[in-house]
Amino acid sequence: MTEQALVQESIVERKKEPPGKAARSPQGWPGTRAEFSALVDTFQDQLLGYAVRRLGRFQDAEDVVQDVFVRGYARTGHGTGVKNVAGYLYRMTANACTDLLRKRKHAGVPLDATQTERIPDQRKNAVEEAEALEEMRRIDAMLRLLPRRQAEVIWLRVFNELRFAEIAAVLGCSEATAKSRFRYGLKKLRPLVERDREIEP
Amino acid sequence: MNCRQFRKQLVDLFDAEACSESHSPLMAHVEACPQCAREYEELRKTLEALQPSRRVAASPEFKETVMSRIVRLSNETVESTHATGPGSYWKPALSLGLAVVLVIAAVAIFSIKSSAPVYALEQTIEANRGLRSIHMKMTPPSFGSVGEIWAQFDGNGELQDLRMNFPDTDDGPKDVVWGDGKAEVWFKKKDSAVVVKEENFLDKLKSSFGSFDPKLIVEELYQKAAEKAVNIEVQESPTKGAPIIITAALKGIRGRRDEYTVDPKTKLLLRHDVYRLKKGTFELAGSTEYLEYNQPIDPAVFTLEVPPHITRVDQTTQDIGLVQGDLSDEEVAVEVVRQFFEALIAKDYAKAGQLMEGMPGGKLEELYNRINFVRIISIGEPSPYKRNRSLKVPCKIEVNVGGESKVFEPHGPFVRQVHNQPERWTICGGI
Repeated sequence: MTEQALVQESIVERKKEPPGKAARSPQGWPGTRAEFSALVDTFQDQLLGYAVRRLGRFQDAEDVVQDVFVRGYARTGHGTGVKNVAGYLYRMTANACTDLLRKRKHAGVPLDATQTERIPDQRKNAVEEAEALEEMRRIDAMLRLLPRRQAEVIWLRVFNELRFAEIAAVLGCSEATAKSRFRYGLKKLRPLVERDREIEP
Repeated sequence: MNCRQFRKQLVDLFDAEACSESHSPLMAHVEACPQCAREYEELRKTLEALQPSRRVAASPEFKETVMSRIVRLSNETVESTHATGPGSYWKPALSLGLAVVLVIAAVAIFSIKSSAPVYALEQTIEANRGLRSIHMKMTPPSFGSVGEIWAQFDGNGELQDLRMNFPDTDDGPKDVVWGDGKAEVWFKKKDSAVVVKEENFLDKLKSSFGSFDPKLIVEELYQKAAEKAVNIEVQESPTKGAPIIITAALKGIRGRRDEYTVDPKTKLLLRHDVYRLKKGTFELAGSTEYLEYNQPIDPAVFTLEVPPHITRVDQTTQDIGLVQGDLSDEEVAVEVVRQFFEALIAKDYAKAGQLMEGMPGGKLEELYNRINFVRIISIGEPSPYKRNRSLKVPCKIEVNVGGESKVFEPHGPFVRQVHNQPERWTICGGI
C-alpha cells in the first residue's frame, strides 16, 4: 500500500463529538498496563494527527508516536510527577518530531517528501476518506499562511480539540499567550475561510 | 459586563469543552450588544469552517504494535530481574502434579480467631473432583489477558470444550472457542475469523496463562504449601455461612499476596484475588470470580456466532500458502509473493487468496477487481519485520487503474509460516 493509501486508510469518519472525549484528561500518569492501554486509546489519534502534520509522512508519524508511548510506558507506576498528561505526551511527541525533522534536514531529505504514486483505495468508503484527506490538506494549507505559532495553536484546538491550558503546556507558553495567538490567527483566517466557502459548490 | 471586559474574555467562549454556564455573562452580552455579537459571530463562523468532519486516526494495528512492544519490553525486564511484573500474573511458578501428600494443617498457620470446624485445602481439592463445568470472570480484563472463560470437562476430568473471551489483545478483542483439536478465533476488531489446527492448545494456554482451572489452582497452592514455599493463613469466621479466606504469600516474592475465598458449605473456590504492594500498602490488582460450578453450559457458548459479513477462513479444511520444500525462508517468501502477484495478473483470485492466509477468492476479487495487475517490475530481498514476526518482501508492481498506468509499491507484503504448519508459508498482510 502506498503512503497515500496509508494516510487515507487512517482517516476515519468521526462525529463532531468524538467518543471517549469525557475521559480525555486522565488524572495523573497510569499506574498499570491496563490503565496505560486506556491512555493509548485516548491519545493515539490526537498524537498521530499532530505528528502527521509536523512530519508530512504517515509512516514517520506512526513510528514517532509509537516510540513516545513505549518510552512513556517506562514511567508507568512511577510517573507520579506528571500532572498534565496531555501536555506531557504532546511535549514528548513535539520533541521527537523536531528531532526527526532535524535529522532529515541533515540527511538532505526534502521536508515535504509526501508525493508517492497514488493508488486508489479499494475499500468501500475510499471516496469519503480521500475527501477527508483533501479537507485536512485544504485547512492545513490555510493554516500555513499564518505565522507558525498562531497556526500551531489553531491546529491543536481544531484538530486535537485541546483546551487552551493544554495547548499552553504543549507549546510551553502561557495560557494567555495561547489564547491571543488563537484569536489573532483566527481573525487573519476569516477572509480566507470566506473565499474558500465561495468557491465551494 | 461592558464591551471592554467582553473583548478581553471573548476567546474563552472558544475553549474546547467550554462550559456554557460559566460563560453566561459573556453570552448575555452577545445578546445585548450587536457590535460584540458580530465579532463573536465572525470568530465562531471562522472556527466552524475549520472544523474537520473527519480526522486522522490510528490504524487498528497501531495500538497492537505499541502494546506488543510494551509487553515484550516488560517481559524482558521480568526475565532479567526475576521480578513479578504485571505480565506474570498468570504464569505458574511451579510445575503441576501432586506427588507429595502432606496434611496442610502441618504447614498452615492458623489464625487465632479460627475456632469451629477446621478447614483444610484438601477439602477444596476433594470438592473439585468430578468437576464437570465452570464459568469464570477475570477483572480487570487487562491487556493480553483473558476476561471470561467457560470450560466443560469430560468424565475423566479432561477438558472437552472451552471458550475464552479476550477483551484486549495484540489483535484487539477476540473470542476463542476450542474443542476437537481445533480452535476458532474471532478477531472482532478486524472483522475476521479463523479456524486453526490446535492439538496442543492446553499446553499453550498453560504456558501463557497458567492454570485457570480452580482444581489446579488449589492443587498448586497445596503443593507449594507442602514444599514450604508459601506462607498460608486461613481465616474461618465463626459466623455461619461466612466465607473462608485463605491468604497466601509466596516466600521470596515480596509485593504480592494472594487471597482465596472458599464457600464454607461446598468448599469450592469462590474467588481468587491478587494484591500487589504499592507505596507500602497492598492494593487489589486482579480478581478471578468462579461463578458457576457444574451448571450445564448452553452449547451455543462453545460456538462462535460470527456475523455473516465477516471473512471466515478455515485453515483446517484447506491448504494455505506454499510448501517450503528445499527453499530457504527468504526464497520461499519471495516465491509466495511472486506467485501471489502472478495469480492477480491472471485474475486467478482463488489462487491469490489461498496464498493470502486462505482469504476467499470472492473477497479478494471484490477488493482488487478495479485494478489490472500488469506485471511484476521487481521483487527485492526479504528482511525480517519485527512487528508481526514475518519477512517483509519489498516489490514493485505495474498496475493499470482506469486506463492509467501506475507503479504499486505496497508497504509489505509480509510473509510468514502458517499457524501450526511450519512447512507452509503465507502472506499475512501489507498489501
